[in-house]
Amino acid sequence: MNADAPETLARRLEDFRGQFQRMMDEVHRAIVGYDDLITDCLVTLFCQGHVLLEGVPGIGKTYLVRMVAKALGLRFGRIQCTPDLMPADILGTHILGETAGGARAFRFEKGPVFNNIILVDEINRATPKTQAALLEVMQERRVTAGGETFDLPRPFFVLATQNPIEMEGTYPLPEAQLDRFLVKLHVPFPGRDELVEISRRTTGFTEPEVDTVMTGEELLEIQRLLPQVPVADPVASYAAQLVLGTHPDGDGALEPVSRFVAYGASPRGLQALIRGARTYGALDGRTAAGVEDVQRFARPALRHRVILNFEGEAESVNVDHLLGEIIDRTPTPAEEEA
Amino acid sequence: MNADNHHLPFRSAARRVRTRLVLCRWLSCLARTAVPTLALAAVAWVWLYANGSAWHAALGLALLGGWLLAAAGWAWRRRPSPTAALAEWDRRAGRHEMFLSGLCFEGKAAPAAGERLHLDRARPRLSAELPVLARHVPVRVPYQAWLVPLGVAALAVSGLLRPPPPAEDRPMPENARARAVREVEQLADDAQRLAPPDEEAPSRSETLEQLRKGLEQTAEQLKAAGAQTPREVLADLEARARQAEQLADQLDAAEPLSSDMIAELERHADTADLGDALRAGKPEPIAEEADRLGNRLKSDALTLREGARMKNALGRALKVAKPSDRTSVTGRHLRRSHQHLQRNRPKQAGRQFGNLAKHFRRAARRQAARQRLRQLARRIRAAGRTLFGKQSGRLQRLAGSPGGGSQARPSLRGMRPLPANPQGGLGNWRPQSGRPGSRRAGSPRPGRRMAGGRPPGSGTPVPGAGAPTPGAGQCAGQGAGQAPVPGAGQCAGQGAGQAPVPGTGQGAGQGAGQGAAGAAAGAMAAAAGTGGLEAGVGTAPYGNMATRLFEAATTGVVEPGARGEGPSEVRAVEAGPHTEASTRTAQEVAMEVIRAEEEALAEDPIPLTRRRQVRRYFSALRRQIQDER
Repeated sequence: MNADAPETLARRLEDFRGQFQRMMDEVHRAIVGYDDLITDCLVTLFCQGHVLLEGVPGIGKTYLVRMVAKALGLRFGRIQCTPDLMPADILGTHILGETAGGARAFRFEKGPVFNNIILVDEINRATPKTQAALLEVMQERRVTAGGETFDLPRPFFVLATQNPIEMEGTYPLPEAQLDRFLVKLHVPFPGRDELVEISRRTTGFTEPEVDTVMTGEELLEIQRLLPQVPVADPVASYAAQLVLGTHPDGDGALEPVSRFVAYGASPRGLQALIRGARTYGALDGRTAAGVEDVQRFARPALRHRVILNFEGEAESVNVDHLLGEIIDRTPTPAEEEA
Repeated sequence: MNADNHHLPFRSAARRVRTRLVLCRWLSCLARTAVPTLALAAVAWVWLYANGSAWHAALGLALLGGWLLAAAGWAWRRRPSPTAALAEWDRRAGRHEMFLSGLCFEGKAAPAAGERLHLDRARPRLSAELPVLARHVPVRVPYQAWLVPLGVAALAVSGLLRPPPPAEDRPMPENARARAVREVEQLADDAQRLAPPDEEAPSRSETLEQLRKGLEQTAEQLKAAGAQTPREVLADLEARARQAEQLADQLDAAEPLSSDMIAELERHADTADLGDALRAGKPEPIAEEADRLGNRLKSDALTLREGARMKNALGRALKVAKPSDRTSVTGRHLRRSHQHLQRNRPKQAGRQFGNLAKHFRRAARRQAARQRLRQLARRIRAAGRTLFGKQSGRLQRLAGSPGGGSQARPSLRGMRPLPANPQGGLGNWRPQSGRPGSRRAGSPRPGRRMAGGRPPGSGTPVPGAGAPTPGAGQCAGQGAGQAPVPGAGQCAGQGAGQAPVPGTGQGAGQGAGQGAAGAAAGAMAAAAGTGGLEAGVGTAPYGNMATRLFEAATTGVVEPGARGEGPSEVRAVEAGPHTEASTRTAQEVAMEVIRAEEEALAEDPIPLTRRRQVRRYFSALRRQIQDER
């Protein structure tokens, strides 16, 4: 693919922009508003990342995931997490059955993770054991059971949701597992106009129809295409500086970072930034990622990777505000001196 | 370079943009520093003006050049890298690091497809936008940057308009200096010819020697072709003249006798001539009369009647003598002679008169020396007038004033005003009146000046001249309430350096002496007892005593006397120091809070699901502490 001629690459990028726009339009037939949320969600899918959606109940998180899966023409699986959910419930298990010849033998009954798009609803209600099993699948994209290894279908995405206000009986995700998600997206409450439109669309006899605009193969092609969008060294250096800026013990750490942050973003955060910047640059019709693309993707990619210390949590520090301050005060390539 | 431009267009463009950005930063720095630089130039102008110099064009050019170079150095030191320069251009043009990425990709040996695609798209755009670089990176000279050149030019013009320095402050021309050398050498020769003024006081001879050396030194300095100004030469000559006058003033002849005692001597036939000579105050006739009386007493032809008359005359004169008369040299000789006559030893009494004659002959010699010294002082001042014409009078005042010539300051500093300037005879001890009914004009007091150096009516009684009243000068003068300032001229017509002092002294008459009324005012101030030692209290006394400041830790309150008259009162109000401290420091409170947090955490591991409750608890706790504080 790297041997592609520039002209071919340009044409394919142009096609990608068209497909992306069509997908946005299709999802918007079912989902009202949430432009940025849908964009970030699709960008993450094209970046081969997993999404953690956080929002109060009833604002369409699950519906959004279903519509995205439908527009992509992918197989959709849903896992509703509860405290008694076991790993075998999501991965699958060996059951005793009969073979074609009538002999009895164990066979592996695949769980819901064997789909292209998995909606893990209220992931923080599952026990840590189940969470660990799921998150291992997210990282390895394969399941090993009974000495057998089963590859998950490609493409494979996990879109998990969690409710931030009902903390009773929950098991918040550990920082290491949060890191597996490429982005964490906040699902805001709709505005008045959006609510009116939602009432108009969803209270009828039939639900809005969403057509498939992209196949799984096409999605994989796009996933292979986007890494070819180049990122200049100064831009990558700026992204790295942003990641370093989240560390409280780094050189030149900001005062609020030193005071309220326990751990900064990991290298996975930098990878997420670069991948997202490439996608945004391509979506903007450019042939290289820029500083603004990095800044655009910084909050979704870093907000769940910045861990506040006790004082930060006690002071109810908003991580997004902290990241905003880091973005504002990190010198861009244009601001660097000789 | 051309090949470089062809193959690496982004690199050459980056250099070009960087140069342009450095230029922009230089101009920006000039604009920011224009006002402080202009203020600095104004301060320099004022400083030069205060020191009597003019604003030089070279100084303005140096300031301008320094300003430009300093700003250029700052801009060069803060120059952007080529990468940053292109990034800045991209930012201003809204290109999302397009050229910056091009700069990074064009140097690669084997660029990837995406990089090649980017270069293919960025190069044509660079070619199109490089000619219009000025649109995004404009180089404009801010209007503030023009302030400094305009200001410096204005200051230079003001320097041209400034009048040239006065003639006395310009360096002496060669012919004037040669003439001054001749004059000063002549003065040194005159001083060399002066005999020692007083063989009994070696210190006076040393002072005369210092005067000679000073004049020779002045001549040597003039010969050295230094950049001496007339002001400095005149100040030097004035210092020598005053040194001569001081030496002359040290040569007082003898203590005067009281008028009553002289009158008693004049009443007797044998001592009448001696009394007349004493009243005339000329030492030579006094010595002759004393010799005559001594010879008469030592003569064998002295009759008992004559001896008795002499004894009677001396006895009556000694009876009316005042204590000062008894301690004076003349009084002592007369007393001893009278004692010898009482013991019937006329020859010894005659020897006492002989000694008295010797004393007055020495006084005559000192008087001659004093006259010669005064002539020398006048000669020195005349040399100044000869050399510098009309400037000399003004320069003499300048030299005498505290702010006079810079070279003169050290030599003149600390000089005290000379006493009255008697121009001949024994004027400063001469009794004013010996006749019955006449009134004395008062004894000379320090600081009192007579017009022309001679008290009016010296030797001549002035009926009804009035008693010496503070503020009402005895001498003829224009009472203007002025007190002579230390260092003021002693001669007539040299009453410079007089500062007006709030006073009410009024001199009588229409004389020319300005110092009389000032002396009267000074006397009045002294009599009133108001000193200048405390801040807020009127005048300061003579003698370079600085007014004391208030103590720093106290508050001074000046309260005038009743009806605004009399001395004012100063009292100091001092507050006692005290310290204030809270019972607990902020650190202690914070430590308590932290300790509470740690204890809460140590007692029970907080499950993640309970973290919100714990957070709320501590938030409430912190707010409470903040409210208490």
